[in-house]
Amino acid sequence: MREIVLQTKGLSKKYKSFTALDHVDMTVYRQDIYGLIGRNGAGKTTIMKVVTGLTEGSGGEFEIFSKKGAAAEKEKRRIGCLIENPAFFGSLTAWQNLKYYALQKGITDEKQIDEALALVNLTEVKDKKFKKFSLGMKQRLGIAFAVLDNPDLIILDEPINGLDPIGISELRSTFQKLCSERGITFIISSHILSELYLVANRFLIIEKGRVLKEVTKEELDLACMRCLVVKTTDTKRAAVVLEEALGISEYKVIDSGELRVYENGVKPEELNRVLIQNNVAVSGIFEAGISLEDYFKSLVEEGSL
Amino acid sequence: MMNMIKADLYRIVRSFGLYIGIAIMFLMIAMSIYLVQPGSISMGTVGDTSTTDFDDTAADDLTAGALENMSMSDLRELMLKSEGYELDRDILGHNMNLYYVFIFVAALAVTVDFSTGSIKNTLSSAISRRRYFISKLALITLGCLLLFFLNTYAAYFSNLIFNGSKVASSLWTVTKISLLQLPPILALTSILAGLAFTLKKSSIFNVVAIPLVLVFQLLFNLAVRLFNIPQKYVSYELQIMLGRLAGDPSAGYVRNCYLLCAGVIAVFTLLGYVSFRRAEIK
Repeated sequence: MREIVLQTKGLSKKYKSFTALDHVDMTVYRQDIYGLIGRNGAGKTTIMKVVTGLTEGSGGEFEIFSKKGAAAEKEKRRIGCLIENPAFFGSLTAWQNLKYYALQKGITDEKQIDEALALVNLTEVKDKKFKKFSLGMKQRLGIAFAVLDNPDLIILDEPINGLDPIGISELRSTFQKLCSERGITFIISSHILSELYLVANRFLIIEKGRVLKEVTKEELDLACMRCLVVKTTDTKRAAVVLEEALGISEYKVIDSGELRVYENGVKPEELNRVLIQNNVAVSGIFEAGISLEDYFKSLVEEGSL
Repeated sequence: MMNMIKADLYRIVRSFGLYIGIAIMFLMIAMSIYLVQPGSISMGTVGDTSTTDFDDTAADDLTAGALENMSMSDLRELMLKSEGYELDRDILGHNMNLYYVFIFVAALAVTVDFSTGSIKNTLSSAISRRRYFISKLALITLGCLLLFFLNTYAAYFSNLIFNGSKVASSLWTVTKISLLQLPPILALTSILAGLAFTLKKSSIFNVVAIPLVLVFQLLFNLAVRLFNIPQKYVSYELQIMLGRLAGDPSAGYVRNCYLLCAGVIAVFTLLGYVSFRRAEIK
C-alpha cells in the first residue's frame, strides 16, 4: 500500500459570490509527480493555498502526511512550495534571500543554500539583487527556495512560467531526479498540458473548481489513443448510421464537419462503405490519436453539460 | 520564534530604511542639542508639555520679536545662560517624536512582508500564523524599545558633552524617566503593530500611520473645545502623558496612565491578531 502524502475529501472554498473549489477529492501518493491541470481560474492555485494554510477552506478536509487539523500544521515543515509569483526581497541578493529563509527554518549549513542555487543554475548570479532578475531567474529562485531544506513534498504553482525551452527541459530533469533519488513528492500545476504530461505520472483535471477527472498517465494515454476521424457535412445522419447500422456508441461529434469514433476494432474501409451506402457524404476518413488539448477540451465540455 | 527574529534582523540590517530612521532620530537629537531646545513634530499640544521651569535670568531677551530675529547660535547662547533648565529631561518630554521613527520599524518588520508577498513563503512552510504574529510583535517591540533607549542615552550624553552639566540632569533621572515612559511607548508600538497587521500593505499603512497622530490631535483639540472636556482628562492624551511623565508626576497619575496604556496595548494587539488570523494571503 503506497503512503499517502496528501488527501483531500470534499474540499471546498467559497468567496462571497464565487465558488473557487467545489468538493474536490484528490489523493497524492509518495513519490508521485502529481499534475494539476486546468484553465486560468480553475482552482489549481486555490487548492495549493488551502493545503498550505494561506487561505481557509469553506468545507471538507484534507490530510497531510496522514495528519489533519492542528497536527497537519506541524507537518508544514516538510513542505516546500512556490505559490503564484515568486516573492522575495528586491534589495537582497539571491543568496541573501535564501539565507533569510534558511534562518527562518533553522538551517545552519550554508552549503544547502549553495546546493539549492546550483540545482536551478543560479550559482553565477547568486550575488545579484533580486530586483534585477529576469522573470525566468525569479522563477528559478522560487524553485530553489522550495527545495531549500530537502522537503518531503514540493508544491509548485506554474513553475515553468517565464522559462526558455532549455530551462524547462532542465527543470523537468531536476524534478525527476529529485523524485527518484531523494523520494520527494511533487504537486505541480500548469495550464501547459504537453509540458506537464512529460513530467507527471498522475493528473487531476479541474475546471471551475470541480474535479473533472483524476487519472494516471497510463489512463491518460489510453484515453488519448487511436480514433477514426470522419469528415462529413452531415454529422447528424452519420451519427444515426453509426448507432443503428454499426452499433457504435463510442463516438463523438467534434463539430459540424467532423466526428470521431473511438471504438476498437472498427476498420476505416468498412466504416466508409456503410456510411456511403446510407447516403452520408464522406469527404475523408483517417486514423488519429486525440491530443491532450482535445482530451482536456472534451472533458471540459462534458463537465459543463 | 527566535529563528524568525534572527531572520528578520538579518534582513532589516541590510535594509536602507532602518538607517534612514536612525538618521532622522539622530538629526532630531543633534538639532535639539545645538539649539538647547527640544524639537517636536505636532500641531501643537492640548496642554502644556514643558517639563522644567527655568530661571528667567535672560527673560528680558525672550520677547517674541527678539526671538524671531535671533540667529541659531545666538539662541543657543541665550539658552545656555538659563539656570535650572534640564534639556535632556525636556527632550524626553517630547518623545512623541519617536512615533515617526517607530513607523519605520513596523513597516520593515511587517508591511514589507505583505507588500513583497514574501509572507506566502513563510506561512506556507515555516511557521504558523500565531507564531508569525507573536514573532513580529516581539520584533517591533524590541526594535522600538532599542531605539527609545538609544534616543534617551544619545540625547543625555551628547547634551552633557556639548552643552555641559549646567543644562543636564543626572543619569539616574533620565533612566527613571525612561522607565516611567515605558507604558506609553509600548502603547505606541502596539498601535503601530495593530495597524500594520490590519492594513498589511506598506502604502496603505504609511498613508494612515504618518498623519495619524496629527489627525488624532486635531480631532482631540476640537472635541476638547466643543465638549469642554476637563483638563484632567486631556492630560491622558499620549503626547501630554509622555511630557508629564518626564516631569514630576503624582503616583495617582502614573497609575492611571499605566492602566490606560494597558488598555490601548490590549485593544490594538487584539485588533492586529484578529485581522491577521483569518486574512486571505494574496
